[in-house]
Amino acid sequence: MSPISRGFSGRRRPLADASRLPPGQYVTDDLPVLSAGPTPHTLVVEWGFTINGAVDQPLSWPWNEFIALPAETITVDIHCVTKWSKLDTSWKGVSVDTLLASVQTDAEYLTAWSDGGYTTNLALEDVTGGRAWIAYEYAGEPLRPEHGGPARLLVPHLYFWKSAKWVRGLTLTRYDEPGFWETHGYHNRGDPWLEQRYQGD
Amino acid sequence: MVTTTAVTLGSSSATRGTEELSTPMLALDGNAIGGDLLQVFGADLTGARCVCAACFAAAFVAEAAVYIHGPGRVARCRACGEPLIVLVTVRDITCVDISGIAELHITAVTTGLAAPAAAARSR
Repeated sequence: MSPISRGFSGRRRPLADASRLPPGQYVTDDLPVLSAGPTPHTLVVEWGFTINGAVDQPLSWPWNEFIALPAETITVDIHCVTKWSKLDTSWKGVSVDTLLASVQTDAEYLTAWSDGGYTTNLALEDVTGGRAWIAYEYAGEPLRPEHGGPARLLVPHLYFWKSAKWVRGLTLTRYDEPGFWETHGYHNRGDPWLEQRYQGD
Repeated sequence: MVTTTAVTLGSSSATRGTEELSTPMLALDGNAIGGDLLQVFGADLTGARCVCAACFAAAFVAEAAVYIHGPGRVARCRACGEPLIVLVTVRDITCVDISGIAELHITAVTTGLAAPAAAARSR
């Protein structure tokens, strides 16, 4: 018997189209639950979404008004900094473009904030132009609390910690203010194709 | 004789919502980061008492609610839910944020270290 083991391959399996997988990632079939804290169970009657900060007029929508906004169904690949990627995930939600359409701002950044105290920062250009949504359905079902329901931010072109679960609002800012994981050593932008996992990458 | 050293480690300015939180289904206890803390501080801190910088509740490090299924590991106060300790391993270097702890009471008995060493290492 050879003393050399090829090692365990675990969940990593060959990918039909390797060009869809950013460097250092592997494909998973399930949707892992990652969280830095307990899962809030916010009732939709208590839920609202707010846009405030450097805007001419703050806006907020209660749940019933929010889900009446024009929505889109999006199928995208998602990439977690813990190295799993999931292909062809299907979401329904409101484009951030739609939410920002009726505010005037000179901000270049924003902080997304969530029930439970989580925050993450993004450049405005990363959440506009049809690249970000506030999603409230996953795979045709209401988004479950462990996956960020009632609603989560969805920014699929960045690592998934930017897609804040349990999101309740966006605060627009003129200066970039690092969020929870960004403060603790993760990359400020988090582009999976550039493998921007940590500060300095 | 047990010697206790109290160290002031700063205060937290983090805020959180007032919504009702579920039973933390993903939470482990503070023993889950005991090995990390031993590696960083050179002492077993699970038996150390810490005071939350947000709500001033006192508890053993082992009693914290620990979430390890994220990009980093977060130990939260059982009383108020605020982070006490955040551990992130970046390129094999473990960074520890203990700004959520107002005081850490390290004893020679809990750490297994002689008292003067425990005091020195906590500064």
